[in-house]
Amino acid sequence: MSDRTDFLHPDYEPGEFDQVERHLRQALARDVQQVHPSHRLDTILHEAHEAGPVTATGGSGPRRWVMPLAAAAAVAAIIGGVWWSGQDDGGGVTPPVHTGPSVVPSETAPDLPTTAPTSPPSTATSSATGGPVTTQPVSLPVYFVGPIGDDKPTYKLFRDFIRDDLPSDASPVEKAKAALVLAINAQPYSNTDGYLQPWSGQTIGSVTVTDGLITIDLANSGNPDAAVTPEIQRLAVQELVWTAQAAIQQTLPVRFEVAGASTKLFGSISTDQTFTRPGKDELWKDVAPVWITSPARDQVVPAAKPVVVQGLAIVFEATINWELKRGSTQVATGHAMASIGAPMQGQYSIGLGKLSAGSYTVSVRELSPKDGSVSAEKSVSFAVK
Amino acid sequence: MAERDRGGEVRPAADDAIADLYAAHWTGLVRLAWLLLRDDLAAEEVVQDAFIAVHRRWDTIRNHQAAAAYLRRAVVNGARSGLRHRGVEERYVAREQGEPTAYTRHTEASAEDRALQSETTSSMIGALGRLPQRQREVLTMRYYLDLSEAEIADALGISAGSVKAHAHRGLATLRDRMEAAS
Repeated sequence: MSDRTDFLHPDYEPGEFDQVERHLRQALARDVQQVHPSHRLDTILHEAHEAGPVTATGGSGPRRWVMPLAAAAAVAAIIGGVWWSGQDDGGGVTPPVHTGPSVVPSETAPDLPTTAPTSPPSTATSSATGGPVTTQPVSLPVYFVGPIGDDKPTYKLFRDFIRDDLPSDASPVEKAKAALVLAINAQPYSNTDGYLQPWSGQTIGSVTVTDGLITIDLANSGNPDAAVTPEIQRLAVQELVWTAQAAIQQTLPVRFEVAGASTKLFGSISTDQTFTRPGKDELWKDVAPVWITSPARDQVVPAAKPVVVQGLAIVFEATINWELKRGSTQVATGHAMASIGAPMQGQYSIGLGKLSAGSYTVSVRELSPKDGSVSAEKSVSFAVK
Repeated sequence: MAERDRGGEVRPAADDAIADLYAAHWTGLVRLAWLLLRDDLAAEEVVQDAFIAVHRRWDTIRNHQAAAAYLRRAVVNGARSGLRHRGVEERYVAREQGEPTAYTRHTEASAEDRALQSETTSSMIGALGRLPQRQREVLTMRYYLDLSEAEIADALGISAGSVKAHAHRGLATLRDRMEAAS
């Protein structure tokens, strides 16, 4: 409005158009309310990279990545160092939990043993103090060992946000215990997501945080028959480490105790050591290449709203491919870019636009740079109503 | 994020710049294009092309403000040529009917949305739609995006004096139509 006098012709009469200007402004503002652009940043970036820069010499030839060069780029990314400053899930697209580093109160983390002595296999809710306890639903980040979607299959960690009722004043330690109890029971997701149950028969005892160390008491050392390879055993330990650290919101080292004594988990992994999650440029050691964080499993999306698929990916050249199916019919495919490529974990977002009512499955894939085969895939089913 | 020249293959500086521009201008420009084109999908495609063009020329643009101006020019031109080839429209309608997804929403058809609007709004929008193209562009950029006369002149590639004249004529016609209607 500032240059309004500039804008209109000098020989207009003052105030001549006041009313029509106001009406027009309002009409335009209202009219555009019905326009909800879908999310296209990924497509823009992808297509711009495909097409390549327009150089001063006018050349805009195709830019095909040369494989060795891409490897060099990956190394460059490692040297480049930290990409975002939040901790692990800090880049998490799903907001319920912030795992920021160093924002946690003080080093005097509460040393409160939750529930029960070490032995009895009570499937533990948290503190059984007398009197009515008000609970509220919270969404806890829980990690599971699942297939990454290649044809070997390879297993890595996936994160789910699971709702649980906790006392409204639950401490991080109590949340950690609740999350660990959920983590050792992958059964609800074994059919849909193929998650393994390496901790079958396990019970979480107390969880404590003292002197910068998280200690998790386990009822037994784990059944090797439930975690059949050394890698699955390692991931089984790591899923508890990731889950506990996420709930405590600090990357503190984790120690395991079985009935107060030292032993070997699954008969092979000594408890005389501490565990932690790998550094940012090595997350791929534990974390599956493709996570879908939204929509959630079986979420119902209103038909009036555009569907946006979001997630985290550690993928070659930051490129993911996706396919949308309605029932068993393919309705759309495409590709998108994560915010950064492997070995770092990037965020991606895929705008599917508004969808007509129905049951859908979206699959997000990493294709092998070698032969284009699917090297990782995660799918989630959702409904539009 | 720092610019890193990985053999000239990956250009994080351009990516970052586009992400910023996208956050600032995507919705506004799609809506501008929609006001000119009246077609959701065509509007998004015009603006998407504009962003891609800026990304590809980032080495020469390298400046947020210049990029915003470039985007506006590209969007207005894109919308114009979209209108010129109204074949575009038929194609989208056909696509919409051919595919089960609702990717292509042809907004003009939405009776429900129309009903939600007040009568003043729709008669004003209707009157705007009947103005000559230049007047419509000038008034839309002015009263939807609040652009200055200079910015509009730049986007349309016309002189400041012409912007004034188009605005004046357009507003006069709208006023007359409003008065006639009431």
